[in-house]
Amino acid sequence: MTAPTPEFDKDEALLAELPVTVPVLDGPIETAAGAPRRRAGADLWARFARSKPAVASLVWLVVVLLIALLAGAIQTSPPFSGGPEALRPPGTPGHLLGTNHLGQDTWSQLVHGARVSLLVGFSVAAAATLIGVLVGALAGFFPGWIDTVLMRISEFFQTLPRLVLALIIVALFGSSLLGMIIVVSILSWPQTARVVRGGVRTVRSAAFVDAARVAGMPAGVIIWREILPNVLSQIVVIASLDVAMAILTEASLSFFGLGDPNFVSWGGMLFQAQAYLRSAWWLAVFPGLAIASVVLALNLVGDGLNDALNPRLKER
Amino acid sequence: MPTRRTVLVGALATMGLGALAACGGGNGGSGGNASTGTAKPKQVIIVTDSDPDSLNPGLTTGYQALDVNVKVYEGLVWLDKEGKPQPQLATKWETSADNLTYTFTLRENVKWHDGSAFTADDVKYSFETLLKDNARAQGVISKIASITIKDPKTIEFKLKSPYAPFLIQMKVFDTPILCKAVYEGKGDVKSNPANRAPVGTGPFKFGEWKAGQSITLEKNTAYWAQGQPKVDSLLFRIITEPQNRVNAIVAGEVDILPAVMLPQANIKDIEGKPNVNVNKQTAIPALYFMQMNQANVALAKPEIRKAIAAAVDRPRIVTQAMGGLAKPGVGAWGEGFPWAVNKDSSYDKLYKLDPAKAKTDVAAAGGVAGGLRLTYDAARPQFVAAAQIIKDNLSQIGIEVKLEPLENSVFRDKVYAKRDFDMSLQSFSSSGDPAIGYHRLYLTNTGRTVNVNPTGFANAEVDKLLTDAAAKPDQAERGKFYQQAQAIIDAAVPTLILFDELQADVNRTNITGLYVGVNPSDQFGQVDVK
Amino acid sequence: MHRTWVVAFILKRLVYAVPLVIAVVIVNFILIKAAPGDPVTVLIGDYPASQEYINQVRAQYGLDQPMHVQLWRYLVEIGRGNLGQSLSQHQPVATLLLERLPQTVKLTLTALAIATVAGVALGTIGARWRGTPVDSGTQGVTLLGYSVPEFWLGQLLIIVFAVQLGWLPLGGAQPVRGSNFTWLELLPYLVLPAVALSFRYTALIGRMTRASMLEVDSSDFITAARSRGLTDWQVLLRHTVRNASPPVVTVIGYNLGYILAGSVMIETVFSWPGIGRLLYESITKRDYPVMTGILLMISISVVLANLLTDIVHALIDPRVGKS
Repeated sequence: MTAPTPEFDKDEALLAELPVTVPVLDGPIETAAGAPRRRAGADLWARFARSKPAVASLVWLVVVLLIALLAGAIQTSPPFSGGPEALRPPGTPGHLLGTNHLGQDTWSQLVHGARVSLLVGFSVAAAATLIGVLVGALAGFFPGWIDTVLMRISEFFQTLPRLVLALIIVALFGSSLLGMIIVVSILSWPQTARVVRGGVRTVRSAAFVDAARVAGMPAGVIIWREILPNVLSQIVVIASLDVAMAILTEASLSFFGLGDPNFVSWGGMLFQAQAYLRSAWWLAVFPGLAIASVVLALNLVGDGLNDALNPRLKER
Repeated sequence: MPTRRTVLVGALATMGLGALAACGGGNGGSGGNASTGTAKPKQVIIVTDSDPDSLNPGLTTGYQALDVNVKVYEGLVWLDKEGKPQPQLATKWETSADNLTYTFTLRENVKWHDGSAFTADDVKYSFETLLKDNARAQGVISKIASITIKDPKTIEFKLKSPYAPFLIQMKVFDTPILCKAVYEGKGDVKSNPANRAPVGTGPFKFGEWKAGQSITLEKNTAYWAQGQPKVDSLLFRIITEPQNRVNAIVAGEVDILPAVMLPQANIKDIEGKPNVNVNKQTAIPALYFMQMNQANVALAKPEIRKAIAAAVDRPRIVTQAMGGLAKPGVGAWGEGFPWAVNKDSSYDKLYKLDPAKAKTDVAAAGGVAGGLRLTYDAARPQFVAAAQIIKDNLSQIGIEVKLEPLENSVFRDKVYAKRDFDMSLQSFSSSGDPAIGYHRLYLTNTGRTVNVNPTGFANAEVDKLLTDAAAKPDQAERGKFYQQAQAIIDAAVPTLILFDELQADVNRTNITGLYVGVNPSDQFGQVDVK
Repeated sequence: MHRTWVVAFILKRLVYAVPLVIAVVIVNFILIKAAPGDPVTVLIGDYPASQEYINQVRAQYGLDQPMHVQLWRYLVEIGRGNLGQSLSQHQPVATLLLERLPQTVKLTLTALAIATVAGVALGTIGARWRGTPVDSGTQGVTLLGYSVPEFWLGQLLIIVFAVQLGWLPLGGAQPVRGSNFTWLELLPYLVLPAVALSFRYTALIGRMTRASMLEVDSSDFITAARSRGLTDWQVLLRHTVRNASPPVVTVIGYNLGYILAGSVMIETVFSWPGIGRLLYESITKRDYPVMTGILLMISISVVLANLLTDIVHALIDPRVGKS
């Protein structure tokens, strides 16, 4: 760990979720684009593939993605269309995983739920990353009051209990898929911003950047070519964890009955299962397994990416 | 300067001690008395789902308050098993020939819980001042022209025009009698402490209110009826989670689960369990229905509405949304009041379930571009389930439904004040007579009164028929008017009646003396524990 | 030297905390006002009410004043500790919160205690037998704890232990009949919710403990101790633990927000009568003062927890303050 300055570097502590700290420059730094990057790509995969769980998780995520895309084709009946066969256990003919209180097929609902979860997860991560990179880059590159203001704002968002705030906002303003994505994104960007800012600050003062500046490179190019690739690794890791967090948050909101009723979601299925814990255990078990497996896979992939992208910091 | 180690140990130790302290402190409730010595006091535990907002029946119409209040307060009459008024605070009554004047003789030697005497002044003050803004009492109070006290135990009501259900609205549910001395001259009614510690004349008086946990009522030893009440106290236990209420009655942790607190979809978890009795009696009929806004271009067409009526699977809604505790809708008035039902105009004849035909009808009428919104109160699980089933049904006939669950006050605002809806789910209680609770479903309502017909359906003939039905005293005559109205309404089907709610109260078999009247919540003076 | 630095640090942190709290309060206020649905309709109830009565109610709750006046009044009242009146229960919000707080504290602290013990144990075992299947095992457990939705875990625990096996109650904090329960009678009700709530935290603490221990383990200081002939256990207890703990403590402190959020879910699943359950009820009833009162309380708790953790960290981390 780098020695903290007297101005206590909370960045490190707040990154407690990752066994990672502010990055140290790694590997050969070449200002010429090209060759090192291509090598880096193949290297990256090789390092990633070293971790079997990470690879297995990646495979599982691809499977889930395929399921989500092909939901319409692999369902056994339209998810909203129920019938008289209510609360049937798994193994009932025609209903592999059973049915719920409205006769809706659990398997069909499960595969359609994947769509919502993945959509929300990736949208939120994308939005949060975008906002975070922008804010972080600005804060890191322009120290002084811009930095302070932006960091105070991000600290503010980080302080507010994310789930509670999301609950209240969605409860007040109504539940729609788009609304939920917006709310959760707004609450997710601070972590990315911090990391980007940290990375930018560190790299900014490195010798080679001064050299580049002296050589006449414009600031934008510097950011793009030199700084971003070094924080990219961390951004990617955080983004993958963001997806996981977003999926969990969406599930939580839907569990409170605040999800969009026009879409089937895993959290919504758990919400309906709450009334039938005594009589229909399958309504709670399968959606929960789905959520847990996807989030687990995302976490493992995140860890794998972290190990692959930041090998210096990997545990010995 | 404490060493790092000390601080660390201290931090961890504090957490540990904190946990122990919080556990040890316990939250077992203060003030309960462990009974020592002789016979254990008899207590009946009734389930409720949240704190009442107030125990002043003039200020609230919530169920939680109602269940408590009808054991603390009393009305002039109570309704027996046939729904006929029996003496409570009034011992006898006379109706004038023109049905405009009702004279009540009040019971003597009745004491308020604070010891003061009950008189006609209390009755007059309640009607004129304390109940006048109350929603439930409104229906009858608005019909009263004047109240005159003839002597301390005789009181006379003069009506503006004949009102058939007048007598049965003199029950504690609609017009409870409150104590004048407690409220008069004591400042703002809304902040009077009696709202949280009510003073009534009933068999039980207020004991204790532990917010979020329970309300206790104690035996009124000075109650006017001999030998009542039989038990020593009533405890209203607040159990917010519907499943836990089911668990509690099955496990015997509570004695009574009122119908309105029962999650109908889970009735199967209760029926057949040992020592549990499910009493199915519908005290006060209630209708659940779907209103269709004729401001919507598609819904303005009767063919579309009729097609929808023929597509909605009412029996399935009854089974899956209500656990079977309902009767599928048959017509404008449901089946709750058999004398008012027109057997010839029936949904079974007019709108038999036929999705295929309905689909062609919809297409023939031009289809429904853009789909329809279905708005409902998000907090009612019956609506949540019914909405999904309706969405399913209508997708079969080519109408796409977008579900719009809303919070109660937002719902009322949107549907009634703004009329910003296509279809909405709602339920109304009849409050004992169609003239009290059902007319508002179909009366012309251009003024946008809340909780009254927002569909835009306006038929002068129906309005007249309903006015007549409310005025005539003879049930057979009234029935004719309702049946005529039903024929007109069913043909236009502005509002689709989904089902008649069947009420099921649950009680442990060792509790006796229940269900003596048409309503399971009152007459608790007769309840006993074996 | 170190001492004055720490004091200065604490003061600076306190100063930072104040505008943060004010910002939270203002956000609260904006939320209440921006939301659709008129709180007055909630107050009035089901049936038609006269315009006069509506105006009266509006004035009574100060809802007819211009926005900045309402905001100022709001700030002043918060400062006084008056969080407003619950719309559905006609009681001061502060009273309601204080009534329910002990239950949440009981649940959260128990979960925290379980998580600390289990997490540290898992992390230590993982670090001690690093690279072996035992390590993979503990890592797997922590990863699971991280990925599983807490409320689902709660549901599973209910299905298995309460419904199928019948060992523990299905919900609530105490038996329905009776009062003045002993600590022992209340314990069965605490078990499942506390375990469910502790899972995520156990994972967090476990991961941090392991990482931190490995970090310390490979430092020169420890190598030196080992070369002096101390056994693994002695090294562990005497040196590693002390030096590895600061990050663990900070993890606990900074993630307090998560455990509070988790308690909202768990209290709902188990009908535990605490603040979390109150939040759920107030959301259902659109009881704005209670909703925002809870948001405020939780936010301030998180700010305070962060502050405390900053301080504790500053005091116990040997690296802080040296430059």
